[in-house]
Amino acid sequence: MSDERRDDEILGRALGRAIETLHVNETPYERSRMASPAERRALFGLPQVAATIAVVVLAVALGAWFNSVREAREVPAVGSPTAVPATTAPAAVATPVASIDPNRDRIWVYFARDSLPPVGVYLQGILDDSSSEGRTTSRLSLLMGLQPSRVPAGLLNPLGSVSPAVNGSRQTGLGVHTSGDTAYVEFNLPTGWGVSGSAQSQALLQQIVYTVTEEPGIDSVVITERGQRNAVIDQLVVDKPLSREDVSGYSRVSPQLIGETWPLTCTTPCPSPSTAKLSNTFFVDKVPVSAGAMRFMILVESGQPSEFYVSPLKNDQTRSQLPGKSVLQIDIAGTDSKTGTELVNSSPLRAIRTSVRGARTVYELALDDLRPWRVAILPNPERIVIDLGGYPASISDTIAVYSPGQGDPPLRRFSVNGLARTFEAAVLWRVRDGQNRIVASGSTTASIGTSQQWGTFQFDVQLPAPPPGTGDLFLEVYWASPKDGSDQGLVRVHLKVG
Amino acid sequence: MTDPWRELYEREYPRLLRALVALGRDPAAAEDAAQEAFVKAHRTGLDRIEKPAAWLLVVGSREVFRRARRSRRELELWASLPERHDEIDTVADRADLLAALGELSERQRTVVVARYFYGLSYDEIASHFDIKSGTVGATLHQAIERLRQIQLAGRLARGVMR
Repeated sequence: MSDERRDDEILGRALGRAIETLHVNETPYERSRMASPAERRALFGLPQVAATIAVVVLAVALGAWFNSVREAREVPAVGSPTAVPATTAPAAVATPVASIDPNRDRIWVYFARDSLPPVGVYLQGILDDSSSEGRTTSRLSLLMGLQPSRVPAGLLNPLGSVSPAVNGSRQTGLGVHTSGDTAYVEFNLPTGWGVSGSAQSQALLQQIVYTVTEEPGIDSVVITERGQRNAVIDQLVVDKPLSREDVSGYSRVSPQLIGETWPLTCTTPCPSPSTAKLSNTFFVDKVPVSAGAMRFMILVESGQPSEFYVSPLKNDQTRSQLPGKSVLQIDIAGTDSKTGTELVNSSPLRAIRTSVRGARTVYELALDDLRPWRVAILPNPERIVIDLGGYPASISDTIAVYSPGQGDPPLRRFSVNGLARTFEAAVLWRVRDGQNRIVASGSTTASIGTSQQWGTFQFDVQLPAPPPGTGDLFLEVYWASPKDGSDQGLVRVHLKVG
Repeated sequence: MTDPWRELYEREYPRLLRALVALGRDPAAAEDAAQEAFVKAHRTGLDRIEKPAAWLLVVGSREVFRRARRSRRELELWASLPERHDEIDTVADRADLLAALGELSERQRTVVVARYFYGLSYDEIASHFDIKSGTVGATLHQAIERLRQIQLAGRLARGVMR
């Protein structure tokens, strides 16, 4: 082969590889025009249309007689009688393949929430299941075109304000490409992002990142605007790959990425050694935890587990058959009578898989993301509590306030509860008014002090009469450093009027 | 029982679609043309098509060019591709090559795709695309030479010559 010919071959093969990498929307066979009579209607050429019109005229003329003939031929009911003349339907497609995947008509997408991480819900919609890019495009397009009346109550859909470019009847404002564990999403938005202010921008960013990373195997997103190397959402510059953890709002708290072993010592008299019998329950978004939080509770019904092990893991959705991006695994001595996988789909808890191996039980909590988590052990009856998340602004490394929640109305008298692991279990609190004046303060003791374990606390706040103005209040919960008395682990709950 | 149409579709559709996207630079038109090609094949009957893969490419490419002439839509396919910086064969290089392909004549484009993406021989190209067998090689060489020039110009323009 001559040098010239060899060079041609090299370039030609490079072109072949370039074509191979083109992202195409691979319509599955079942939805191809060849396999679908309903779609094939659109392909009729002029002669067929003319023939069809002739059939209509004939049908009108012959009235009921024609209909009876048509029914006798068992033509599929696909709309008007002109749709599929039986005589033109090839035998191979007379019985279309109708495999309907029950999950294909439901799409899991995320909505934003005020002061909380996004929440996932199922919406009716058709998922383009042909590729990773197709599925991601389906999810984003569903939210961008969603009627406000279809947005679940209390949730925000900032993507609904995004108006992508259109070319004729076709939306061309969204380009999705995946490479490895990263999705690249390019928006072409002639009228901008449709949001303003940092709260809305952050909410939009959260919604995009959570929705795009719902795709199995995709952990982060690069968002760009057409012709740019990054995206600027109002004044929020997005210029690096983002994971759910990057935008969830818990960045000031380390989510404890290393597994921990928890010894359990029994109080005398210890029960005689036997395999502990366990059962479990959970709460999401409600008392005894707060919105955005999950509590998983293992009840020790009998016996005494000696220790348990909690480890946060990345969930490989392509292999584990569990939804969600993270798994919190709890391995405990004892047996739970209920095993198997329970689909929860209540964000952030997607599923619980329980398996018993010998005298041990492994619980796998499939989660939307890895939020800060806390372990507490409650007595009488003995319960092992694993809490996760909550209002990001209500959680620090050492204090988690569950009630009141961010944005709750200020009351003259209210209860405060949560978890803490503070020096000597001392928990301090104060209430400030809108002018930053302290209007009430006090202290309480949590059930347990500095430890791996978190202790519970609860106290009542009684504001002095007359009430301090009518404005917002700020509840601050913290502890004092034994070295210099400075505030530690401060959590600030904004109590809003109206 | 295996459905031969399903088998053909699942084997050939992805490749055909990519070829038609590369030829016409319009993903939506390529999808229409690929679907149309399969419907035509179905109407024609498998027993009357000797080499279905090449047959589909011939029918599909004609359809793509027909649509392109009619609508003159020019979609910038690679505009949606993110930039990456691989050592070799970068996305930008691939985008350059695909863009350059769009600058060739319809016949040159078809011959290049048939040869380097479908791997058809000179004789197969000649018979399927109704080209004199002696001119396939020359058409290919001219096409590649033109591709090289356009790609080079693109890379120079972006200042990414290595």
